[in-house]
Parts: sequence; structure tokens; C-alpha cells
Amino acid sequence: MIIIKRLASLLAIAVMLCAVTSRASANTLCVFSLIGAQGELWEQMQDYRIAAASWGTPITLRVFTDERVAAEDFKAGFCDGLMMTGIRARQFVPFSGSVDAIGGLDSYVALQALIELLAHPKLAASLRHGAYETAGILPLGAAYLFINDRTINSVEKMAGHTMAVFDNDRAQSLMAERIGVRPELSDISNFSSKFNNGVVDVIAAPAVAYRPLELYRGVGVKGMVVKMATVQLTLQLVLRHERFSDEFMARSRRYFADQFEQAMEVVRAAEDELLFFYPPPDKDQERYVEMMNDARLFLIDAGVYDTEMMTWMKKVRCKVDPVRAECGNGSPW
Amino acid sequence: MRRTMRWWILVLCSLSVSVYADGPEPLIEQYENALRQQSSAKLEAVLSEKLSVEVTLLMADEDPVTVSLSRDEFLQQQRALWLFSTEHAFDFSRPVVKRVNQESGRQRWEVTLEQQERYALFRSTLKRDNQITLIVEQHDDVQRISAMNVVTREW
Repeated sequence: MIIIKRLASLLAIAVMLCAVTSRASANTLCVFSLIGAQGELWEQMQDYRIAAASWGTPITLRVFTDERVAAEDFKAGFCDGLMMTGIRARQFVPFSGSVDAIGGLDSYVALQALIELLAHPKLAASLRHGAYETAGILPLGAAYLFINDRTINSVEKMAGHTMAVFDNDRAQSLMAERIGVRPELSDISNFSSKFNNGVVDVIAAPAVAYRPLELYRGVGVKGMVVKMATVQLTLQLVLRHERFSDEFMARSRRYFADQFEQAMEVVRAAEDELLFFYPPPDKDQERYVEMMNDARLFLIDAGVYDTEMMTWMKKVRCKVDPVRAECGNGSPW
Repeated sequence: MRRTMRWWILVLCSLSVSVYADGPEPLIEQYENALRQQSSAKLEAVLSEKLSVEVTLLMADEDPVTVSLSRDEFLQQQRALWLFSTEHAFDFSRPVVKRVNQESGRQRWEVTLEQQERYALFRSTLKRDNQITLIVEQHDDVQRISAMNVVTREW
């Protein structure tokens, strides 16, 4: 009887030790989500957690509603990985963080082609930078210009008006200066309220932000959303690569590449609800395209974007649309 | 002689009726009903797959601005207006129909009409006066709106 009791105690201790060990070895992935532990992104990350467990890599998720705080915790080592915007990811992995380049890609077809390319083993080394490695990319949707007045219907007319620019994206400040818009430094937590309250006249945002952040209030009955992709925004999972195997990284990139269409369903549904969602005026279409191309080249020269990524993006643009003027100009980007 | 004359008048009248018997008026009525009922499915049913839409926006003290929309873009905008407006009212003028082309198996009409719209949106009101020109094409007994040109004044 005593032996049985001792065996039972030893067994209980062993089970406890196993549980503690499992918890200790499970990696912590932090997830930036404006709306917290809910919504499509959180569900996708839960699915990812299940997939990772099936690959023999248990992970726990921790949600942040403040992306800046999440990034600081990641740098400090409290997270083994962080799912964040591509713009934020640029400080960790400049190569993949440059997918979100102004004027980089103008279609979802091109973005999917690029994400497929980045999931290929031959580009694995490019996705590692210092202690970090990009382990997955999801589309967040094109960023469109939201304007509170339809009479601001050309680049020239934007000059003198105010635009919210994110303080963690040097590209936006430089662009604003270039087109003569007064930049209002903002972040993801306050740019929408500035627009809705009339503090700024223009913002750039994806359609998925329209309802949650009530951007229709800022557009009102007199504004518009310009149907021209300025940036292809992404969410990127960046990991501390010493905590994960190379095989896990490759599997993870493949996993997220396969989630592209599912993520796009959310984007398309959101874009279907944009009110006053108009293409640029007919007479300005070519000038807007030219402006985007010039902006991209200017920002590359300014050192904002990774040149290797810019080269790959040009290859993708020309693969998707070979008749583009740039495809015969011999320039690498 | 009189009988012959009367007979010819009857023949000519019946011919003219048969020429306009298949005009676009029923299709235009379907179009208006689709808008009144806020039915995307009914609206899609009257629009050609290759519909082209040109909207010229007139704003006070500004040059007119012309924007081209595809069929999908036009439908998306209509659905979004219905989604966000708490009230929606409009009036159509009587359409003026002009046949512009007829060849074997195909007919084409130009329909002009005026529309006044009013939407209650975001605690405000959007009003529009629209001068609309529709091109209706009939091919193999099927009529569809193939082009739309709208000059809009908003306030």
C-alpha cells in the first residue's frame, strides 16, 4: 500500500514536471491586433498555433493592441516572435519589410506572386537579418487615400492640406513633403480619430480599417476614397531564428503563403463596403501611376527600402504585366 | 378609293406599332424598380457584362471631373450607398427613347432621363441631380444596358 502511494506521488510529480517543461519550451508569439484577442487575424493565429503544434513546435499566443509596445517587448526578448505590420517589420527584417513599399506593387495578383516567391527555399537567407527571420506574410489589403473633400481631386490640390503620416515609417513623411502635403505625425492608434475629427484631411489606410475605425465618418458625404493602391500592406510574422529550426521556418512561410486566398476574402469583403470609392479622374490616371513610380524610385534613393527586394518586386511586376514601360528600361528597380 | 386609303392607313399604323413594340421601356422600368427595391441582383440582371459607366461630377466653383467605372465598380458603389444610407428617395423623369441602330439580330437605343436622388447618410443629406444617358442593346431578343453616361450635380 505504501509502495503504491509512493509510486502515485512520483507519477504525479513526473506529470507536473512534464507540464512545466512543456510550458517552459513552448515559444511565445506576440500578435498585434487593434481589436485584441478576437476577429479574423486572431482566429488565423489560433489556426497557426494548431498547425505549429502538429509540426512539433508548441507555441502560445499573446495579444497586444499597441504595436509599438509589442515591438519593444519583442526586442527585449519577452516574445519569441511577433506578428506585426510589414511597415513595423522593416526595422527587424528590411528585406521583407520592404514589401510594403509605396508604388511597389499595384495588384493582389502581383502580391501573391511575390509571397509565393518569398516562400521558396532559395530566398530563405534573404529573410534572415541579424537575430530575426520572417516566417510568414499575409495580405492586409492595399492602402488607399481617404480624403474628406471630393474637390481635392488631384495631387496638386492635395498640397497645403494635412495628412496623417505614421511616425514609424520614414517613407510617408518623405512622400508627404514631396507632394506638398503637411504631415501630421501619428500612429496606428490615433490616425483614424484625427481623420474623423477633421484634424487631418487625408489618410492612407486599408479597407479592413474602414468599419472598425469608422473611417466613413471622416469621409462623410463630401469625401471619397481614391481607388488606387498606394502600398500593398502586409502582416508579417518575424521570429527570433535561434528559437526555431530552419525546417520550421520553411514550413511556416509555406503555411502563410497558402493562407493568402483566405486572407483576401476578408480584404475583398471590406473593399466591397467602401462608400465613394472612385478611381482617380480619367485625365489624371497616368499622372497618378507616374507619381507612384517616381515615389518608389525617390524612396529607394533615400535608402528607405531594401534594394534586393526592390529588384525582386520589379521582376514580379514585369512577370505579371510584361507590357509595362519599365520592363524594357534596363533598370534593376 | 376611301376604303383603299383607310386600308393603307391601317397597314401603315400596324407596321409602326410593330416596329416599336420591342422598345427598351420595359427594361428601363426594371432598372428603376431595381433601384427602388435596392436589389443588387435585379440591377445586375439589366446591366450588360461589358457595361461601361462614365460619371461627370459637377461641383460648385470646380472644373467638372469625369471618372470611368466598370460594371463591378458601379454595382459596388450602389450597394455601398444602400448599406450606409438610412433613407433613400428618388424620382425619375419619363424616359426619352431614340433608336440609334438596327441591323439583323441587333438593335440599339439611346435613352435619356433625369433622376433626382436624396440619401440620408451619417447625420447629413446627399442630394444629386443626374442627367442620365443609357445605351440599351438588344441581341437575340435579350435587352441590356450596355453603357451609361451620367452628369451629376451634388449638394
